[in-house]
Amino acid sequence: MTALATPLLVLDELTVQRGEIPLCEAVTLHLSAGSICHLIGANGTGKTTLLMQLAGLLPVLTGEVVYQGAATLPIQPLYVSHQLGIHPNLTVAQNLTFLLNLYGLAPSATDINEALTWVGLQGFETLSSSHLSAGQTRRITLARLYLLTPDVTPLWLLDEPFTALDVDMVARMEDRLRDFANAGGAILMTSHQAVGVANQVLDLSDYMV
Amino acid sequence: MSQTDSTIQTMNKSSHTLEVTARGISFTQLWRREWQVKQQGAVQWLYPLVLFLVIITLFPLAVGSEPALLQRLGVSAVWIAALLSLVMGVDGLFKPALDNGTLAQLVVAKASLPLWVLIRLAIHWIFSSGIVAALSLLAVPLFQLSWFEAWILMASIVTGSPMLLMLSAVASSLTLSLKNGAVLVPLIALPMQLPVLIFATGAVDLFATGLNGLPILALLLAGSIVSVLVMPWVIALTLKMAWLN
Repeated sequence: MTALATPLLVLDELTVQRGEIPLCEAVTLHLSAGSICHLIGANGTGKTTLLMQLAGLLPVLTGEVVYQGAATLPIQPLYVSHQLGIHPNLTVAQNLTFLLNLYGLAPSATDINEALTWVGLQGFETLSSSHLSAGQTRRITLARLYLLTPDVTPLWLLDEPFTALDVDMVARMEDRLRDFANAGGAILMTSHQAVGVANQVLDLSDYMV
Repeated sequence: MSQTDSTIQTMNKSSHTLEVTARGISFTQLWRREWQVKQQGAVQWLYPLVLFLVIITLFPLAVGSEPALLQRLGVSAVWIAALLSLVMGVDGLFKPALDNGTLAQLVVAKASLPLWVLIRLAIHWIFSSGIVAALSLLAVPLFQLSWFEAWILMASIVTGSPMLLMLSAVASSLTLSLKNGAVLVPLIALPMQLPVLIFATGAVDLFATGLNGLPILALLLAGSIVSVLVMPWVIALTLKMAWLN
């Protein structure tokens, strides 16, 4: 996929706010295809809130968000948050299948096995998710990154995706982020660790009220 | 089960692509997922059913074995047990989905929330009131009701319980953002549900005395159909509002 002529995502004078209280004002960002933007800032600056606003979970009251030239979100972004979307009653494979079904994908058992192998969960397919550790549970939700391409969802909003992951898994994740960006996707992510693959940084501390 | 990183295969990530088969999640996929959630969480839906069985079993033991008294109280006792069992079971309708992030994933992926609510409630109904309706036939040996009365009792539960469930679900969604909101669900729902209880037991009594209770059952069915058509949209709206708190 070639880079898009217009930026994938533009934030113009956006106020990051949850409820009545503004956290940051006049936030500006241009995110193009191929961008991996590391969203940084001290605790409470509104990193998670900004991602929730962009994901459509919280309203944008002041400022403008433009996605591929449109004022409304024409795509289904991928949103990875602290709440993983994993139901403890379901098996690992059932949870991953659901998370992919949401994007109109119908993965086969082979697809699921490959994605789970990629995150180191091979052999766990039929195991109840309630039996997994925090890191393993997070890997289920991250396994979908293996199968999602920019054609399906060109924008990834990742809130602390590396939390509870070991060093090898973080390295594998960074490789995948780079591949996704090279294929024409854009990523906006928070992380308290250094993100080696990031080619853009947005520091919300600069916009604090 | 343990896994070491050395066993993890290195895979070529760019070689694997999946084709998009639909614009988003389909009805069938949503239904299958919610069915699996319910089926694999038996403890959660068995508890209200056990409560129902305990109430209708203890009631005859407490009242005594006089057939006329049991027959007179039987329909009301079964209906009260059904109502309490239904109200007790709605605690986990939406709270887990909010807490574990399922609701967020549905919203981000632009899935139809009213459809998800409808499917979730339909499956919940099957695993709660649907089974309760079948179990209500136990009123024949326990309360010495005739089979005719028992079938009418079952029909009244089938026609009235969808409306009861929808009212409970609205109450459950309204209290989502409150700490210990589950305590408030019966307080909000029960006053709205009392008319259903009165109409349903009244209909069975009419049939038992040889009168025509069909119009009342038809009224209950109409109320249930309207609530099934309207309430999922109301609940979806309140679920979205829960995010803002």
